Amino acid sequence: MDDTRQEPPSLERLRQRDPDAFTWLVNHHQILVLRLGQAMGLHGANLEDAAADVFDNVYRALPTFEGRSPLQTWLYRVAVRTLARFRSRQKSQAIAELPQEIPDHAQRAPDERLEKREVNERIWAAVARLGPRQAMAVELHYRQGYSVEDTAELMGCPAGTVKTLLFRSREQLRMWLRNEGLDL
Amino acid sequence: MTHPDRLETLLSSAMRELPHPAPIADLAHHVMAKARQREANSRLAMAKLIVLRRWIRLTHRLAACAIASLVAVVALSSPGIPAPLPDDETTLAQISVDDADDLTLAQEQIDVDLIAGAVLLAVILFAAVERGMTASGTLPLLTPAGARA
Repeated sequence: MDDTRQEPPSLERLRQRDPDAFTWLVNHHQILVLRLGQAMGLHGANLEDAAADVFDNVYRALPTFEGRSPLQTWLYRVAVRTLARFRSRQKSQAIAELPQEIPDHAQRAPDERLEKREVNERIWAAVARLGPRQAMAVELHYRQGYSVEDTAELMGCPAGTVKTLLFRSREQLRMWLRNEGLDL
Repeated sequence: MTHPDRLETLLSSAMRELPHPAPIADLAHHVMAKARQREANSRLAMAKLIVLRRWIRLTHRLAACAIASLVAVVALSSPGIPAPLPDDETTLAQISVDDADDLTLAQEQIDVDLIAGAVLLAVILFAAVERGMTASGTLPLLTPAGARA
């Protein structure tokens, strides 16, 4: 049965770490956590280990979850902290590894596709060097397409903070990418 | 002159083209199994710690008892206060029977006092060791809390 389509379990069941409730939680949120880890520069086995660490910490912390913020916001906070720690341990390997395949949307000319791929890879690598909260803001806003307000709600902070994070991220990325000779 | 629109366009496009990661099969199961294993290890470590603390307490008490017994034995085996010797000019024959009885009684009294003193010293030593163990965070055996631990 697809757990992601089930009704969300009650807060009490989650806090009691009911196996079915926890399975629902993992199945429902693991893609978000994996995407966030990927945006922070983790790939392959590192990404899987980091996601396992995130849900391990979530499992430990569930009895203390009071439901004052939405579950997803709380989970994102745990994820950002855990992924940041994991990334700092694995930094050298993580940034070196990048996905090799990208979807081919285009009827573009081969040169154009190659150039596009190179640009993308440089941008992914640059985003992976951002701080954890900046990377999270970029992931939610630019990749998952959330508005600034929705991103703020998910991150559990004011919209102004998200705007600042995005602004600083862009400035940082601009500087790095220009240093690599990208025309911006 | 900066061109934020171009950067935002490139960033948005690149991020959307980042390949989606595949979900991890049985992740919840693995996490729960790992947590159960960790809790079992934690309980085992706690049990080992309790046994170790009991061993330490036991050896402390054995050492305290040994010291107290040694002190008592030394005190008992040491010679008592010597009885007053007769003057050079007197002989044993000159000592009256009453005087001899008095001397024996006095010697016995001294022996009893020595035994009592040794026992008292042993008790004081043992109490001091117990007190020291309490101060160092190790529960004494003689208190109810220590007996329960």
